[in-house]
Amino acid sequence: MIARSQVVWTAFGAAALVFLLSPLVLVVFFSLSENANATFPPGGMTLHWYDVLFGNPDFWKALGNSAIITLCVGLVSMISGTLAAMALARSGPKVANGVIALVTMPIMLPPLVLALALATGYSSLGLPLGLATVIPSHLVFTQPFVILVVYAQMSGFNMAILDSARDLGAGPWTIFRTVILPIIRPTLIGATLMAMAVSLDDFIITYFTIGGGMTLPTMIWGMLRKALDPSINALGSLVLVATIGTSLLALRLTRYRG
Amino acid sequence: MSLSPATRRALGLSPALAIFGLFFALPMAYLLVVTFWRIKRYRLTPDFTLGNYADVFGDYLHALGFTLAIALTIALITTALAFAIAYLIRFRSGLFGQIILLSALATLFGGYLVKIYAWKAMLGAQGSVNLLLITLGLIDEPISWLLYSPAAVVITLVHFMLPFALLPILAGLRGVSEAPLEAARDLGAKPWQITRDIVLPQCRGSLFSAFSIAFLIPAGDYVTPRLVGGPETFMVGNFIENLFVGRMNAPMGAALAFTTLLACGIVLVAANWLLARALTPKWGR
Amino acid sequence: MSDPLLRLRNISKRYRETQAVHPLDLEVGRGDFVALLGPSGCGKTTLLRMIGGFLPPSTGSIEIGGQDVTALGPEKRNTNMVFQGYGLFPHMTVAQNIGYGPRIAGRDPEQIDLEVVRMLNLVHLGAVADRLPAALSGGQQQRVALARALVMRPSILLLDEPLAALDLKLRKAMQDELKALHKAIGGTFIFVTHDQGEAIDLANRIVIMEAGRIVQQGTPEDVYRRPASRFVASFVGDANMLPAVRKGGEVAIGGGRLPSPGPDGAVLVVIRPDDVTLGGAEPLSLAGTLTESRFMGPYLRLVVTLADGAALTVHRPSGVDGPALPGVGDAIALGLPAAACSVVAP
Repeated sequence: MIARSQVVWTAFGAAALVFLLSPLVLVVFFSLSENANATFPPGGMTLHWYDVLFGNPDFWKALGNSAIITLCVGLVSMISGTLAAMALARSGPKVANGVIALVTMPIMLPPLVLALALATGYSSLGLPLGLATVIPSHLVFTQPFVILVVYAQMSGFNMAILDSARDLGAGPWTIFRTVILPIIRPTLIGATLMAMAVSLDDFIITYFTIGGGMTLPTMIWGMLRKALDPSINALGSLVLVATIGTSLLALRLTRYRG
Repeated sequence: MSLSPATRRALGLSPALAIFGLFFALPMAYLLVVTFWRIKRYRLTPDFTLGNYADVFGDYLHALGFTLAIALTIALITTALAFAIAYLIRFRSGLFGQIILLSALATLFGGYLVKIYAWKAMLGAQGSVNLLLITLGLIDEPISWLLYSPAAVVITLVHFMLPFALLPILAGLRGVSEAPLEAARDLGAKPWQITRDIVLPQCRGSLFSAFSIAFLIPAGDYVTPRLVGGPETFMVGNFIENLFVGRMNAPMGAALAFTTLLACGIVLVAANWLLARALTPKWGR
Repeated sequence: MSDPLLRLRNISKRYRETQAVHPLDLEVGRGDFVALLGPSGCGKTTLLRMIGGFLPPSTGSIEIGGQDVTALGPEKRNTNMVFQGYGLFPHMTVAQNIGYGPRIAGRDPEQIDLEVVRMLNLVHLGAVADRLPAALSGGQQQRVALARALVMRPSILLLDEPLAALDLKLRKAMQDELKALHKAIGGTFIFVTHDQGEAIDLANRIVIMEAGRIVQQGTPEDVYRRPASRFVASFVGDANMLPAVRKGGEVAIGGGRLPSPGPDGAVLVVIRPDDVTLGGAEPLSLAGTLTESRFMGPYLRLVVTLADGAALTVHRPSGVDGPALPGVGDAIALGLPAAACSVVAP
């Protein structure tokens, strides 16, 4: 009996793992195979599609835009998210939960609605769309991740440490620099990386707020709508590797396990 | 420089709240206002009309119902699967569970578009799913309705939402302590009875969180139906996008968007009520 | 014991590297109130969990009422457990907690209601039947856990550190209640504790464990008066241990001889602080200096330093009558009643 249920659970786990990972594995697999239709049989191994991609000037433009957006969004959401998390850690749980419920609304709602709200707003104000409109639009749904992760660590923080630092004569800035920052640094970097992964991968909000420009995801979208371009697998693989790599690093740093 | 703790807290919160207010609350409020405006000569014109909502109810009720049905299907499958996987991670398997958890976490933030087109490739007539089923001898020729159908939308979005639903449920299961489970077993309960009577009621909140996100995001998605849904699977998101971009009718698109949000809210309230009813023990009262 | 209710034969539990319980035999009679007593990590909880069916033993067999239950899980055994920390179902009311087992067993709802009411009365919880566990005091939660287990009419009730989570005063009250409950329903109780006072107060049989082995079992008086080892002597109650030498079946101590069969060699003579008498009237007596006198409430704790430098603790009632005590620094003579002395290996 016990053995049989164990077998059933193991089979279920294996199936779940295949379901979760196989689409991603196949994209990377076909990015390296000769068959241009991304079907079986795959043909031999090749880096040809990466050559094609790297020869496309659009790719470098999109990569540059994605890099600028991701870095700016990461930096700003790190600062705004950490400041907020630290303030929340010193507030009562009621205030903290209320503020968190509020600022995480942007990640609970369908991104299309927010994208259209932002696009309508920008156009009514006559703001030219571009990176300057994309970056703040991303912040609104990346900073919640920083707030959530950093707050989770800060609320488990032993506040007596801060009191003893004050007792020993440290001012607020000194306390932050010498006590708080060294303790939360891995979490902080990890949370920022999560925010960057989310920003790097975003398509819908970017698409509606960037105007004529292009990022890696909007480039994928463009390729999807045109005739079959096999280098899409190469581009997709690069985006996957970047976001998953960033996420893994973030998980390692924050020791976040759900 | 010495500020009161309350002032310092307010200062600390201000950048985040400013971002939230300027780039979420304000645009959303504006969009809500726009639902009462009209389009005159391709320009947004302030007005106070309920005409847009009337049109939404006239023209899009069917699409809305279809979308809610699909989103509900996705949310139910995702929540059930996520619970089973979380259960596996929490109670059954050590290392294997950790691998699944790590995979889910690592793919959580990445590859929205990539995941959709990967499924597009996999579900096609030449795709790997059909190939696998043929190789296994389960079918003789490719299933044509796997792609460009509501089923494709459901499969793709369940896959996309699964990690998001897994995390809250796993957190909920981790909050269920061991002793009550052993006590139930000691009193004669079988594993499924323990799950039904002791485990599920204790992670009701996290089940609802998982259900909510797995319902809301698909309900407003337009990329997945566009890429894998085929011509028959038009969801509200597609109509909203079309109203804004194709027909330049922001007021009506906004009215449809807010009607959808409201409908989703009603579904969620109902779901929460049903969940509470189903999971609160009533006997012996 | 001709017909034990519970019979453990050659039971052991081995985890990957550690032997939590060494192979042991144990019998428990019908109506017994048994304490598994030992320090943390001695294997007592492991043993209890094997009896309850939560852990499969590595070797040996478990019989309850003549039936081999070794392979059965807890849901199939007629034992029920009161868990450490109680393990109440947080989302169920007191009545629902108690009624859960009968309900799972598929009993008739009216029957269940009657049973629950009977249990609520037994543990005096009628007034809080519709509350959730979180709204109860520690003692009330404890009683819910008891009622929830007892409603199943277990042939053996297992209790894992049942009183550990309660404060001292409540613990005393619950001890009385547990005793009364045992008497009222006449069941067989086995409980795990690290508190020797609790074991002595509650149990009619104490099984003392050390490092995965049973080192002594007997009535509370047995293990207190006649400890089988140095460990038992020091673990159960306070004990003075005086090094001595055995030769030809006699131990020389206090200017006399104590008959004690056994091999020649070094031994320890154990005597409880309250058994030591003052004055040299006993045949076995020691002389020393009173170095400390402390008021402990009901008794005085005297420390006497002997000529060889060893210290002996003596308890005297702190009541007003009785002979005047010498002051600190005075010479004092102590008597060792032979009947109160036991001899253990060093």
